[in-house]
Amino acid sequence: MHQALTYDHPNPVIMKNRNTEVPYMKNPEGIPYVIAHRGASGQLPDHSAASYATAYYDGAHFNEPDLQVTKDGVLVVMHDECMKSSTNIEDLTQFADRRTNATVSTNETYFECINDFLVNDFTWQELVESGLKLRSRYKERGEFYNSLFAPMRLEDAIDFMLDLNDRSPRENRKFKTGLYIETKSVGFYKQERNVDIAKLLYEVLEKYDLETVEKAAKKLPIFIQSFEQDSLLYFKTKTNLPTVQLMWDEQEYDLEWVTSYANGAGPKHTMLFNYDDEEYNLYKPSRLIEKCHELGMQVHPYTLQDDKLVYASNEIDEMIIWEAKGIDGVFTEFPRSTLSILKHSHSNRILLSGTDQCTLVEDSCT
Amino acid sequence: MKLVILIAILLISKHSWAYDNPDPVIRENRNAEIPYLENPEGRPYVVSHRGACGTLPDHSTAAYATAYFDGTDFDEPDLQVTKDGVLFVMHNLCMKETTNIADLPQFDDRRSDVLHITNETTFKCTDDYIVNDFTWQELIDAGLKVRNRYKSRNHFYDDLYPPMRLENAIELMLELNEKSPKQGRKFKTGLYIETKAVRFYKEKRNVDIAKILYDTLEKYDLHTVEKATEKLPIFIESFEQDSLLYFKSKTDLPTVQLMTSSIEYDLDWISSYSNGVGPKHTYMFNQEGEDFNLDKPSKFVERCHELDMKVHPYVLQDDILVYSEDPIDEVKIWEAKGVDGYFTEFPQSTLNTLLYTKSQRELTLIKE
Repeated sequence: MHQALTYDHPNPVIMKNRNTEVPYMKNPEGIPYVIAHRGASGQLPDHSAASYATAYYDGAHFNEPDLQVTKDGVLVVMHDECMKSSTNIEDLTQFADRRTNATVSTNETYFECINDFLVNDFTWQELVESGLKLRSRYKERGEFYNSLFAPMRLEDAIDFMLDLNDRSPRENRKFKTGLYIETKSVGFYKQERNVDIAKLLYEVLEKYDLETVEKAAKKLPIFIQSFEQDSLLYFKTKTNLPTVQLMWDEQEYDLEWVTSYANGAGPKHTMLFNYDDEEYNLYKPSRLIEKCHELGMQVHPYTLQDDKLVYASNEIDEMIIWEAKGIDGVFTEFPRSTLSILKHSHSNRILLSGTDQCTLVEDSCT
Repeated sequence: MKLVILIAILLISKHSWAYDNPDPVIRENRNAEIPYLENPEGRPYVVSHRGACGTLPDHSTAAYATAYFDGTDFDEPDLQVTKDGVLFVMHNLCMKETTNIADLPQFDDRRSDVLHITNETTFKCTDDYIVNDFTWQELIDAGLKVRNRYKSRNHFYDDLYPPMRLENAIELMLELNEKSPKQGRKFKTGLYIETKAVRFYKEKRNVDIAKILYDTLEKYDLHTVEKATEKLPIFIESFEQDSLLYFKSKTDLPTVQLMTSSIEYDLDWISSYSNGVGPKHTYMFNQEGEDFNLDKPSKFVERCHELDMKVHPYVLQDDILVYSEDPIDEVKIWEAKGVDGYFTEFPQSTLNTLLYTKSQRELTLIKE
């Protein structure tokens, strides 16, 4: 009965939704999920249709939209609350006088817009008609695609994924390629702008008939992720869709509490190496992941970036290290590369020992 | 004493026998040193076949730019020529397979056939649109766009990009190298240029595509090894030896003889005008007396190396693997064979694996 103690959320609706089985919670292929962070943003502008299409064809299991909301309540797929970093808005002179500042700093989340253009200060139509285009947030990733792709609404991203799955179905996959959706700045939008972005998201999912696990498993697998627990608690009162608590390393989390409303955790990768006084190492399972697994949560850390490796000097060694920690999924900006390496090490494991305990590092295969 | 001297002469001049092309100009150009012939990074070259066409339309600017940012060492344009002498970057002589031309009604009555068979190449176009039947401008004005040739690949970018002229490709590479220089690389990211159908164009269409290429390189001041090394490394490749012989009579730029699996080649003769070979990958596995294996050096590659030629086989396709079930193993197998470069359609993937194997080698060295 250990499980009942762990998932004992005081709210019976949340408890029931939390305990619903999610068919696509684990990747049936036996390798971690490849979640394309902002699409294949390593090579294409963040959150562009191109980035999502490329990630799709690269074999990602999920594309990963972040959501902001416009003045007229349209959900826009964008990481930042303001637009300088990943669009060409500074070149659009008609908006020159619309700059502003905004800062949010809570224990769960942080953003800072300085002399910037807030999504929420514009209507969707204004942005569309202005010729706004997405660009890669890192200059070193190249400017080749910078003036080509307009931002998407969430509806566009959903339509697009449904279309791709329909027209070019992935072979040998049990589930369709889905969407792993992040609600950002839920508190900011509620308190400062009087708009409930979590509710808007739920309504869009309902409009597309994707608001339960049963429907999503068939049509388009959905995860709901957030740094803000209120957002996930809200969702768990409305639906049994899987929720994932994102975690950053500036905060302590009560994992027992988290597991009562979240099916998974999305920690910053550093937390896989320094949890609970564990000795820093590159090849032993992570204590954090072990604890999450005991509590019935999957773990999807962020973010793997081939061009900004942290633990190794090349992508393959980096992935071996992340995998050795015991991850169930990974947010990556280079989905093709990540998937290829995961499939390779998976088939190597089977070849070498037939168990999942083995990694590619010499010494640890017995 | 005489015997000793004779042996000494044999040993010293072994190289000059191998490169002994009867033509002194060709001989001299063949023996010129090429700073970028071998990759100074301590791993094989990554040559993006038609750009990063695994994920983008073949020979589109996007495919070339993406390959560039993926870290490729070279982008690889094939050349055709239009009615008005413009060098068109395209693999096929005709346009149905990789463009939207069949959707352009104004060209309905311009379809034609080509059948050109030589001992080196075969070209066949059936009820198709031949590049050489059109002027460059009419194609551009009509809204011609490039597409990916494989149904199973990403078609999101189809019909977004117009084709390139060779000049566009050169300018693109010069610009990319200037605006976003690759960190820690000794040489710039270059162009590995293929002349196709040289004999067809000469014999049937009365146009010398090799000469037009040379003139274009001259226009961009890239027609010698010295200039290319500084500005934009260039390789010239072809299935047709006449093309390479022509180039070696004009310039010291490195030449590479492409080899199909259906012809017998005289490697000694090839090495007299060619700095490298680009064989179909099967050559690495099936030489006489060689047992099929996936992990021992290739007899063919060893022979080429004896003749002082680099080996760049074609084509590695992550989605159409031949020797293994995953792209990482495939790259490793080719590397075990001893290759000096890869024609690949997935440059990022190939480069990832090569960086990994390189760091494994370095790890081993440290341990020793």
